[in-house]
Amino acid sequence: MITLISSDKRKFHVLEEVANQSLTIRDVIEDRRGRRRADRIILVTNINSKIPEKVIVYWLRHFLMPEEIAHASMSHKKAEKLKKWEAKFFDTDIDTLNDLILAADSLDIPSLFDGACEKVSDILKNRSAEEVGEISKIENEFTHEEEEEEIPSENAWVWRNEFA
Amino acid sequence: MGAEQEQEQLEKEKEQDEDEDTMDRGYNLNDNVDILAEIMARLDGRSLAVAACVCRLWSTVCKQDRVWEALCDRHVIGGAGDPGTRSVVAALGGYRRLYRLCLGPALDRLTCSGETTDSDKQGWAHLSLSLSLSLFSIDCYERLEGKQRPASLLFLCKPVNVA
Repeated sequence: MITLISSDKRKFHVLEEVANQSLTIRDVIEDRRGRRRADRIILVTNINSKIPEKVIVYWLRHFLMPEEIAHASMSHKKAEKLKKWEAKFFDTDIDTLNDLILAADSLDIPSLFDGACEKVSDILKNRSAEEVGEISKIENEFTHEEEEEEIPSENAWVWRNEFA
Repeated sequence: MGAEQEQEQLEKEKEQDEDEDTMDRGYNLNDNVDILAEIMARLDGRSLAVAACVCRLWSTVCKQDRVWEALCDRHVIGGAGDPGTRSVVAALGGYRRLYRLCLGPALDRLTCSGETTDSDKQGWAHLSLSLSLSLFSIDCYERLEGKQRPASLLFLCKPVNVA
């Protein structure tokens, strides 16, 4: 059993086999093998407690269906089911997705990282620059002149649509 | 003693407040450029160009060639990450240019041309990349400042039997 401690000091107990899906945690465990029990506690300081919960849910779902086996012998039906489950898992607000990406990055969980990045990019697709700025809470610091001149001319091919 | 305890209490509360502050702010997309680039690399061409207008940082990230490389690679079957292709494209002006000049328009046309089956689409996408690369090389060739530039491209004026 491994204990993860989030930045707000909540503890999460996870089976080693499950937590091994994080390459970072796997390395840490490998480094500390054969040492005291206290060394099985891992601090995940840059994420709040909402995120480890989600990450562990994700781990458990994927632990039941390891990806290598999944690709080789998973039936079409099961693959569809996992896909649906992931769609539901990632169907959340952009702040949570951002936190998930950060957690997946620091814990090194490639499939979670890909899934969350994919979802964020889906959210940003087919929108205007203003909408994108609003969704991602980013202020547009371009001056009015820049917005009028430089930016459109640089990306003129998008607005022209001459190939349609 | 009482006063000391009070002081401690106050300090603790202050710490908690600070903790909550950082927690509330959460993680912003702009905090990590590498992660931002990963997200951008998953956008389509049009959305990527829109993203370039969101703010300065996004504009810089959207100009990175690796973002466009990922975009172009998604339209290739089997050729992704091939170092040969990469060096050719880099020599000819980069993936961003390739997409803007050739691949993007080609894909636009394909989506506009209407109903095609999935297998058709894959075939077309593959062809469209080969075609884009050819057009891209020709475009670069035309921009070359050399003596023998126009003459050798004349063969393009004649119809070619592709069958």
